[in-house]
Amino acid sequence: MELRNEKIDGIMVLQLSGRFDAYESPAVEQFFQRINTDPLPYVILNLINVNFIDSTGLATLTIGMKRCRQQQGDLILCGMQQPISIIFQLTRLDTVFTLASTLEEAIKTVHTLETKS
Amino acid sequence: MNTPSSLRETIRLNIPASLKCLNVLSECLAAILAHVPDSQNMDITTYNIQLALHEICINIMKHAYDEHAYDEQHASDRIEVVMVLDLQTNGVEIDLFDDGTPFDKQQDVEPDLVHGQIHGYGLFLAKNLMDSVSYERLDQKNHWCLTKKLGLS
Repeated sequence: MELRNEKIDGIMVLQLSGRFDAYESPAVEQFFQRINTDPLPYVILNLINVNFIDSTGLATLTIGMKRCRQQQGDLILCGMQQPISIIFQLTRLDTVFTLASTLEEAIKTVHTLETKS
Repeated sequence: MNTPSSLRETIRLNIPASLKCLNVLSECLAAILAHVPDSQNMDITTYNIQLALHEICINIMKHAYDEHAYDEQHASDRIEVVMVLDLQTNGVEIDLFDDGTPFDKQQDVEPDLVHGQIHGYGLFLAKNLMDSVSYERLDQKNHWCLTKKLGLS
């Protein structure tokens, strides 16, 4: 798995690619532990190049989402491929996370949430 | 009547119970399922079976082998995997054997889907992505059996 982070429009965007499973998830967990999200703790995770996610990957995302929400922010997931989207529906995590189809839509969502907060 | 060999593909693997080996299983499974002709939504079906197999292996590593896979110090802990694709019945069967601690069925608890939770989706996913997932303790070994019918277009 490759992990790359950059700031777009002042928002932290994490780009993952490849498998996001129990073997690879510690790297993402470390990212959520050390991330500095000033001034607002919003993070976008772009999954467009992720071709596999397992229950440990889901757990890592849930921990990251809770961490962001504890800081009055959020973790927005975007670019999910269909098989992964089905897993989110099956576990109903699609109702727990804030989802966006594309990175552009995710950035708009963050700006909307920032305006409200 | 015997099934012609061309209609039945079998792959046997014996892998270390280590997280870093799980991608090998996924690749082998995808390779054997690529032999299925004219099936509907095969990409999604392949993904679902890969994930179910992956989750059962994670369960074995965590519970049967007491998370040794996570420190990678116990190279003798292994999982035997037999994948059978039967094109006559359009089904796939995967048997997994390990000689670790017996599975405690009390660990098989449905996750709280309404409020969401962090852990505990592994077996739930496997059971919901396959047609059947069964477990038995046999001859001092754990035996998991996963089956799935493949839809044809």
